[in-house]
Amino acid sequence: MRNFIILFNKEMKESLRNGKWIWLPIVMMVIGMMQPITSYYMPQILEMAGNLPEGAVIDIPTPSGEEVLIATLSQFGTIGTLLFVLALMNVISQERQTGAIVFVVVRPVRVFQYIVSKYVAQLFILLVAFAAGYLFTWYYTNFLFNYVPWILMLGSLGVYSLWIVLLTAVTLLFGTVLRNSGGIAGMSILFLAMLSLLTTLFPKYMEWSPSNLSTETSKILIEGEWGSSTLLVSVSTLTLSILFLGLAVYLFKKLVRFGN
Amino acid sequence: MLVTVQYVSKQFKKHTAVHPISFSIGKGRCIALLGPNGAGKTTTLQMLAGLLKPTSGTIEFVGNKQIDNRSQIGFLPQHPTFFNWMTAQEFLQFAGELSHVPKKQLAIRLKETLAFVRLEDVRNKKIGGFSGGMKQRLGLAQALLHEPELLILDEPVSALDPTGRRDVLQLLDQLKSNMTILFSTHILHDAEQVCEDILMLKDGRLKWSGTLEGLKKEYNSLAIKLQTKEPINGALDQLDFMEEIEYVDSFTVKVRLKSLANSNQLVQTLIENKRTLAHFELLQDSLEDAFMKVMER
Amino acid sequence: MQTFTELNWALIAPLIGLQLILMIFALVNWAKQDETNGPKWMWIPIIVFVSMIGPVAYFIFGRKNV
Ligand SMILES: Nc1ncnc2c1ncn2[C@@H]1O[C@H](COP(=O)(O)OP(=O)(O)OP(=O)(O)O)[C@@H](O)[C@H]1O
Ligand SMILES: [Mg+2]
Repeated sequence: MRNFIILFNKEMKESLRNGKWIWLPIVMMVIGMMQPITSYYMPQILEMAGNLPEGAVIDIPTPSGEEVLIATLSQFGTIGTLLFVLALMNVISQERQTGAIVFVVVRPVRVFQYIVSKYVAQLFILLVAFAAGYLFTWYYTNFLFNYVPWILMLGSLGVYSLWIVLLTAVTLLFGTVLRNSGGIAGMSILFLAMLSLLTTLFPKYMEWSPSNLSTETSKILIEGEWGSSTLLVSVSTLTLSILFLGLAVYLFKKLVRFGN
Repeated sequence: MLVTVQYVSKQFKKHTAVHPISFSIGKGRCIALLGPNGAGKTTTLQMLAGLLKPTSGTIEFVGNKQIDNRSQIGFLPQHPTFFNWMTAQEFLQFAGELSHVPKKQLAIRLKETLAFVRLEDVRNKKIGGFSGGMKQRLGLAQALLHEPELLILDEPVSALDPTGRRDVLQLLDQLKSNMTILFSTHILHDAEQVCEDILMLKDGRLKWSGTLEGLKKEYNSLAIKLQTKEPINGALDQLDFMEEIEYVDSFTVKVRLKSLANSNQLVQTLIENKRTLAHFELLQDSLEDAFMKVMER
Repeated sequence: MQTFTELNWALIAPLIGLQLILMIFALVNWAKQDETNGPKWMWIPIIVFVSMIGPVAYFIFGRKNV
């Protein structure tokens, strides 16, 4: 536990120094609030862009606040995922490439402590960034559209966080297997994209798929309920994440060499 | 005895970096691991430090079987790279905490160690801006911060200028009294300055292990330089205690005898053959010669 | 065209403000680097003119071994 805390603190300090603690939340806030604002001004934007004949009536139904939040989460699911994976790709590989990792592994530190401290620290940063973005969006949405009950917002936030729990585990796993940052990011994105693709192609067999988390959050926001499917997807996502982390620890012990 | 190494070898794919070697490290000794480039020094040290798993053999810390012995070791890699965003002080704090130095003691050790390696003035500077020599000294500091039983240093002076070299060797000399030191170098002179024991490695094979004194003794076969007024002309050719004879010119020879005791007989033979002795000199083999001989063995 | 004059500035001011903060933060960080990936000056136009993506690209790809 002591090692874990020391390593966790180091990770926090590093993320403060390199600015990750600042730029990531800001970017998530910008991406998030863009959604309600563009939705709100959509009629004007279309009018400007569209060269519509005089007197044409633009009739776009105004979305509900819930719909805006769903659209935001969908943005987070694509751009946000890409951003997060890129923000994580150097987490282990850089220390390996420079060799600084040697100073950690020559001390009585277990691989498990090393990987899990990185995991928890990075996940913490990403979750804070995500929550900041989402809360900001919620505030705007309430203001511009209609009030979305905080319990629904919180529920969708919680369920969606599981996606981040998974993507962090996936990126760290590739981070232990591969050395090259580009490869790590590429493989992680590929893996997550394949998961989504398979889920759309074979919905019957993929009910457990973490990609369904977005459907679950929509359900929570629109219908205000979470059922057994939410539980299934949540549990499977958590299980997969733990599995990937375990695999990362195993492969680190097996593959990672510090010599020369 | 602190560490016993038995039949330890390391294979990288097809290439054998270290053939099975056995040696032991006495507590409180200072041992130099000597060998040319590619000899397997780094590989050996990394196995000792627990960074590489030996392909075969055992490394045993006496009284500490099977247990993680990393807490007893301080290690300086050949090319240390640090977390550039940390300051020297932060890095040592981090390293000390990971080595489980108690908080109060760590504060004291931090001061001592920074002073010892003379980095107090730059302790709050980012490591990213350090020179190679400063990094080497910081590397040394992190290795000895937690007062390990065994200090393993991989070429601690190779990257340094002559002054830096002397400084670090002096530091090692001071540390000798507190801990067991094992360091690698390819320069015999470095070893001679601080160490009493040496291990010689070449092509992954252990060529010699023992004390420097022992090496001197064993390889100090005596050479004698003789000069006569008359040409020597084979006067010495038939002696059975002669190991080697080398004519410098017709009046001068260098001979090597099986034993020093035979030198009287040598002179006697000359006189019996009517040669006038003009010069007689015992040639002491330098350690360098012994070293070369062992390496070429 | 008039419609945009009705823009509620209080609404988008935070959006612009955040992007500005991001840009300035990136520039300050840039100024402190000795070296970047690619020519150092190249990052200035990227950070300043490519809104949001510029600073993000700088933070992710611009810096060497920090
Ligand atoms: N990771 C590795 N994979 C393959 N071969 C390796 C690896 N590490 C070392 N070797 C080989 O093992 C041999 C010993 O290398 P080692 O680094 O131990 O030598 P050294 O004595 O430290 O040399 P130097 O004085 O140059 O540091 C070399 O021939 C090297 O090519
Ligand atoms: Mg070496």
